[in-house]
Amino acid sequence: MYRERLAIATATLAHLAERGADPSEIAAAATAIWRAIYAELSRIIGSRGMYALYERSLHSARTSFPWLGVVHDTGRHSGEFDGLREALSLQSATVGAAANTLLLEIFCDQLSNLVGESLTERLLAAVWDNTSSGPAV
Amino acid sequence: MAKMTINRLTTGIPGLDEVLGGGLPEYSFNLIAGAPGSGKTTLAHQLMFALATPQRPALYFTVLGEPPLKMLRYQQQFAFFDSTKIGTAIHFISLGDDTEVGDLDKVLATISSAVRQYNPALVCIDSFRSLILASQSGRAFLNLQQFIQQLGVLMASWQATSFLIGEYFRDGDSTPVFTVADGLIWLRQSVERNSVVRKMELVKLRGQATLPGLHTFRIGSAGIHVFAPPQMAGSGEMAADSDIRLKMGVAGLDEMMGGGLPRGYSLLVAGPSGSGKSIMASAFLAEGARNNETAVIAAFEQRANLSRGEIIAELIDSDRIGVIDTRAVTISVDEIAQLLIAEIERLKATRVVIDSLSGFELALAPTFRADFRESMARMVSALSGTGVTVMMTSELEDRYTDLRFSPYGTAFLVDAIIVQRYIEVDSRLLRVMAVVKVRRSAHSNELRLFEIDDDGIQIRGMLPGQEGLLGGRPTRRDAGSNHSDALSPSVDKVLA
Repeated sequence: MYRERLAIATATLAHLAERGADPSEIAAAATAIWRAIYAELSRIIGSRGMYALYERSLHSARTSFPWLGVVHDTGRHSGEFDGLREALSLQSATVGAAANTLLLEIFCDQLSNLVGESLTERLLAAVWDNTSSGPAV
Repeated sequence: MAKMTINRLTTGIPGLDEVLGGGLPEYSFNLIAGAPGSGKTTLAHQLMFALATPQRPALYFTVLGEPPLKMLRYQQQFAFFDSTKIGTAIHFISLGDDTEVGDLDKVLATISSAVRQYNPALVCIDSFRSLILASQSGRAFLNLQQFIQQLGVLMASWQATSFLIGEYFRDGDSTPVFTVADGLIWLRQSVERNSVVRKMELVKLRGQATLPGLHTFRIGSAGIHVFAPPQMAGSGEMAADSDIRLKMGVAGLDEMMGGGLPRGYSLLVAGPSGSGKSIMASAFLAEGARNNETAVIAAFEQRANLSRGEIIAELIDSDRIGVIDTRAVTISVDEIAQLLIAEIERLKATRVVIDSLSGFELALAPTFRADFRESMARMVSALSGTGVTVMMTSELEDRYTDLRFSPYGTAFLVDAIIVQRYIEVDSRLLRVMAVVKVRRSAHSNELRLFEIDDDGIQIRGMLPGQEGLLGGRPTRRDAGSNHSDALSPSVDKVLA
């Protein structure tokens, strides 16, 4: 359910990278997704709850992408993801897209473990509506 | 000009509307108070899922208390949680960040902007204690009283029915919320010995008469179920009809009762252990089945299945007799009454057996035992209001110095009484029974010997010429002595 929408969103990023997008474009697109997630979830579970999940996801994603260790967005609780954007723009577009895909997958799976698949689907529905108009052609 | 009538919302929570006195008053400003774990959040969620629609949604504001993620996780375990309503009919909004800085003005601003955006029918704020704590941090421009006042005004002007969920309030607490609130629902967990019973009290509900007292409720997979006390039948006598008699299923007993048990009557069968009360109850049920009647049984005996016998077991299997599940330990009389009435309605039953009152009392949570008589009176009245004929058995310790029918003083509640006793005759323990009372009916005054064999209860004759049977050791009147050997010829004759 939510995985399909997530897959479409991440495929869009990967497609951008394949077409030779600049790492900063990938970084901007990735943080746009995170800002949309923040806008939806922080209302419901609070920014503290949102960032706790985000931090946990970063931690898990570090095993595959150790350079994510430099990201420290959690102290600010502001809804901005500048740390992530900086870190992504320092990587190649392909690596950045892959790292963000993993990060999103871990985040959504964790949310789903906590509140179940169908509620995750509902909580995040607006995120996909607002960040992607469907698979890139 | 017509007076304004308050619309009452049907909550859909079993029993709650009755306790509320007909439903939840629309646009009321209510407080749900209780200790942690008493069911406040569950009650609020169940109300919300029942009442919210996409047109008039519900807003659920979470404040510091229970982390929203965990709340969503646990509330999903209830059947009423319909995740398709989330984001359409129900919106969760976290107030955590605003209260962290102790800013009630910002909290109010957040609530009021969400209320404008969604035009909700229902607003819940969980938990209110966090707001009180926030207000004590001293940085707020608004004090708690002003905050409550303004919140109340906001909710009323937007025509939202609202719930503040408060934690840790104690009876003596006085917060401005209590004054402003239109309704105050107090959830308690009463602990006595090793049993815990949940109880709900409507401390206050403006504009309508609630059912007073503490009402038991359970939280199960379907959510909250409140057991409102059964309504006393307005005129219980109406249902009873002494012209139509029910057969007892024991040969000779109908004649002793003046033609059977009048329909709608309640009968108490009292006797010592092993005297044959449950067998009489089974005969009563089997006789009903023979006349194509259905029945409901609430059995509290340890080995109820064994003592019922094959015929009854078959009737239960074919759903001609409904059985009330009495295994829950923290049971209340009101709960049993409600279960009985529901089952009576389902089966259109005409006969009810409660076997036995003694077992019933043991099954009750200790906290209810003190009120056993009052609750029994309510239950018997409510049952007779449904028109059923009730047989209750009661374990009666044999006392040969006085004549008693029930250890609970329940005898006055019933319309008819049969008493069974043991007597000692000729080194034998014999059973006797008598019809003590059949209201508004002639009945036999005979004390009859009876036996129990494979076919059930067999009523025999009297022991003529003897007295002191109820004392357990009869004497022969004409002999003037208590030598029991003088009795044996007549006993054998009677039993033959």
